[in-house]
Amino acid sequence: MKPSTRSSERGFSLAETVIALGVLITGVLGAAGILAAGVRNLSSSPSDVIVTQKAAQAVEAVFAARDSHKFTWSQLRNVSDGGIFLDGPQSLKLPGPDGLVNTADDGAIETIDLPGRDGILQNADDQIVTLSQFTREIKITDVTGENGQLRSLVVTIIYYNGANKRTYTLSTFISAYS
Amino acid sequence: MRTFSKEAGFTISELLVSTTIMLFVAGAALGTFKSALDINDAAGLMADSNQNLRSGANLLVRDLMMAGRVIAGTGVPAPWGSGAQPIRRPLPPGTGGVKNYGDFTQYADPDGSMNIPSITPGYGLGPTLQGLPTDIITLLTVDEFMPVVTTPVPVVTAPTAALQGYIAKDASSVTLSASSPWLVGDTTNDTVPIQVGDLILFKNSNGMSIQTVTSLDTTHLYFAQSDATHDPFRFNQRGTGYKGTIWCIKNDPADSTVLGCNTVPISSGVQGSEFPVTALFRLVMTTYYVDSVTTPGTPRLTRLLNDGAPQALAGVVEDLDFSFDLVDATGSSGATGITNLPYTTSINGTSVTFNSSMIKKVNIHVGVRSETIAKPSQDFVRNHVNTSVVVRSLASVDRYDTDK
Repeated sequence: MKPSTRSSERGFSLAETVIALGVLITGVLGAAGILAAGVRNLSSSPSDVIVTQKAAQAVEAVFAARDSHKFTWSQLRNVSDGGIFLDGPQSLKLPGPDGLVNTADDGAIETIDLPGRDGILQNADDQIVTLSQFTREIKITDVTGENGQLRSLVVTIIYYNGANKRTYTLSTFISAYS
Repeated sequence: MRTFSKEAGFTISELLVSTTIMLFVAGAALGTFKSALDINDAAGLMADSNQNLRSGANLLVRDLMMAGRVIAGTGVPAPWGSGAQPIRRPLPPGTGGVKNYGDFTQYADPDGSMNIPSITPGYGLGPTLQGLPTDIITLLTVDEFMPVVTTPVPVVTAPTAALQGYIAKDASSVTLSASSPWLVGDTTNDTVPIQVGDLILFKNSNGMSIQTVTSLDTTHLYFAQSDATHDPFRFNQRGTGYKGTIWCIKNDPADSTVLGCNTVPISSGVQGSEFPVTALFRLVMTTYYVDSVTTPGTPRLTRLLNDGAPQALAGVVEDLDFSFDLVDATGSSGATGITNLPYTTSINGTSVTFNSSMIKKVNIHVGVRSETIAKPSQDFVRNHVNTSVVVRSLASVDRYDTDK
């Protein structure tokens, strides 16, 4: 065996080791960052549950306006078309005396009462969440070729999870006949 | 030997420095890793509780939307009068999971008839959670996937067509064709045949009535009386002294006193007279409540069909509240957000009582939390949702029906 061959079997130098560790840590922290981003994304899931219900609630409100006969078919439009439903995105407000959302008489922005750390509802510890980061738009348009008897009903809810804007859309049709 | 001098290891100072740096770096990395694991754990709890809330709320909302199908706002007359036992509804289980029942909130029309409404509130009838009592709710609706059986004219006592039926003169049974989808099911449409314990809604020009199937054979459904096992709700009461029984929707030849059906609109009837053309539906009574007994410490949102096996929908429920918007919420009564019915208020100086038949909209609050505490926040992960459901079959307002 040639002793000289051992000269090529040197260990890593301190500098090399530190650099290697630095690369490794950067990688680990990067992976943790991705995990955190995933968790941030998931943290919007409570809002995802809420918006599906709020969109369905708006659609049902329009159907109710038709079925109750409190409004005429020509009123079941956006305000810009001579109807009662406000144009454009509106804050997620409680319905007013007419029982409908996204109309002129809407009440205050909706809140959700959470029991807080003590787990008891309706005491000083409660956490009141105001749904101010949500907007809801009801868009009603005539379907062409249906003689005005069928309308497209699209409810769009926009909400924010941190800086991320998310959109939930529910589309359906409403007929003049109930 | 010269070559060995180039293979010198780290000096002790190099080793100390590198080990110290390594410890700091590894400590930081492990700390970050632990935080990531905790966050991952919390994310799992959040996903779990949200999935629970989503599944529970979705089914509840759908059931509420479809409540009152065929029945609408009038409700279904129920046996009452001297000697009749009150009609019952399911309540959350008692200690040890024992089944519980309570009396239905029936209401009396001005004509005296007693009705079970499509939606019956149960304010505070659930277990107390988070310091507040929870609500329950019972819904009646017709199974839209079950074909409707009708009694043909002229009457056929031994039906041959699949969707024909014959109601026995004393209403103790219904005869069907042996090939009826009610008895054999319908695999094409995935229809399950009628089972013992199913509720049948009879509807004809004289009104509506409910009976419970207590037994069946290849051509009959039977509605035995006083069968507490199969008819725990007591729909099968047909005593001659009672009012509001199924006999009251028979034809009305003459005698209005025999069966006690002498109140309008429940027509009189005599045992032995035939029924007018009657449609038979499978009725479903759905009850939602919180069950805090079966899984102590982790209450569950539970859905119960008729008196069947309870289905747990969502884990660790913190709250279940219902309130109701009533028929003329747009008027001066301000009858919105009513938690319990009947509800009496003063309108223009006149005392007015609203009952369950006037429900148009149901407001729901459901809250769930995670099963365990999330480490980052040292608290449960919570998600509560408020929503409103317009009950489709009850949304129409009949402005000319001053009776309701």
